[in-house]
Amino acid sequence: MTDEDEAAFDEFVAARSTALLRTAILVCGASAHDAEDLVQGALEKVYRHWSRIRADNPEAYARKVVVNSAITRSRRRRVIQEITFAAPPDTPVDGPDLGLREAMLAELRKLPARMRAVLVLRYWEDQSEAETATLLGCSVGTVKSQAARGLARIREAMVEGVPA
Amino acid sequence: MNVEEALKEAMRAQVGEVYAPPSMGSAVRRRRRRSLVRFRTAGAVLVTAAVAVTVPVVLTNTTPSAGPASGASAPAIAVPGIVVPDVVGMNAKQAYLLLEQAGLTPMLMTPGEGGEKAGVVAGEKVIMTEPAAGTVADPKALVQIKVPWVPAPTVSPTALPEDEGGKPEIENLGDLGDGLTWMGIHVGYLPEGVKWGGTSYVGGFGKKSATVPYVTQGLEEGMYSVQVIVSADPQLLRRDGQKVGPATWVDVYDEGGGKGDFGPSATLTASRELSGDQMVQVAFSPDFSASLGEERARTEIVKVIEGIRPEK
Repeated sequence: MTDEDEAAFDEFVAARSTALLRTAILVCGASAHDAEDLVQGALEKVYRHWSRIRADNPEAYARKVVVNSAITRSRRRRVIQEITFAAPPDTPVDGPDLGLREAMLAELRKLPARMRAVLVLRYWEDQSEAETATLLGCSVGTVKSQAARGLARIREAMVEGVPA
Repeated sequence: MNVEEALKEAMRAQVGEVYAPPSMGSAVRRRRRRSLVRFRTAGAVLVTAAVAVTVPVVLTNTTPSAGPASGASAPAIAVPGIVVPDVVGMNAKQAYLLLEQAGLTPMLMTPGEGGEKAGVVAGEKVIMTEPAAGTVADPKALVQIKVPWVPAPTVSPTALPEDEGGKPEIENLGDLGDGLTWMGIHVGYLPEGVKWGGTSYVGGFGKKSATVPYVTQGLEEGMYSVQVIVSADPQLLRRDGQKVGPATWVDVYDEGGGKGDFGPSATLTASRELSGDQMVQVAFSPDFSASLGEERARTEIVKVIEGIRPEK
């Protein structure tokens, strides 16, 4: 790998790792530092193939690796100490919405990994249905149905989360 | 609020304040085994979450010159360029958020690779940006935020400085002498040439846990050859490997914690139930395992785990 490749990789990591980290946290439901580990692993794969993929949308490649390894990892719930399915990191308490938000996030974490990934890609990353389908290697129809089912479950949690 | 918006908002609340550490690039390059790196970065992430609470104040005070910062209320017109806001002297995390809000792509930079080893850490105050404040940049343009290296704080498990709001420090076990007796255990056997690395970490593996790395001569800073972990958390115990003794198992795990094959990306691991509330785990780094060869590594790791005994 040339010096220029190395520099370009640094730039790529500095610019994109925060976004990848956030997505990883949401998709695998892990704590921030477990997700960081996962992103590092994914970026290592990117690094390994960097000279080949740098010209060809490395971000899409990295996101694909992150999302897929997050799915794999969240399926392996039993896994030793690698992932603590802990409560989300402390966020400032800012009003009565908190209970509702917690209920929604809890429900999100309960969804099947792939369905959760669809919701994260569609509504957090604002990816289109077609892009989401490409990233996950499934059809647009699957993305649509998974998103609809996932949202329905979140909506139920929202309704239950609101104190009567 | 419809469910999509509410979900988006909830996701933002969960991860909007999380930032990747500036060391990510070098961590990727040096990655062989993540345990130690994870300990080092966990604290930084918590600090980020704490710091971010104060950010909105900064934003309202300083964003007017910063282009389409205010999201929904910004009129949908073409923006020819964004004036890079002045963030010098600001906390790097705040600067990051501010630049992000301004529609730029911030990059947190540290002065270089060399500082990582010798008792210095990346400082929090921004010393310069590139392009500099006042420059007109394209939307989404990269803006480097530069922070200096500063001396690393000395970690003291007893007195946390009050003025930092009790930010989480990574605790250690202090001076362990020969490093063989700690947390109620004694490490009775180590392979030849392996000794205590001088560090230890508390709390990274569940309740009442600590870990101590042991190193061979000439090993790079932050790496380990043999790592011993003690925890009251029964999850530390992996019963799915080859049983080599009473309540003792050995296996090879890949980076995700799944079963792996002996080789450069997997970690030879032994775990043992010492008593009902004390589990020990011994890991041989892939490099160390390779230096021994598979057969010897497996023999040695059994000796190490069997050599551990409870100590009053």
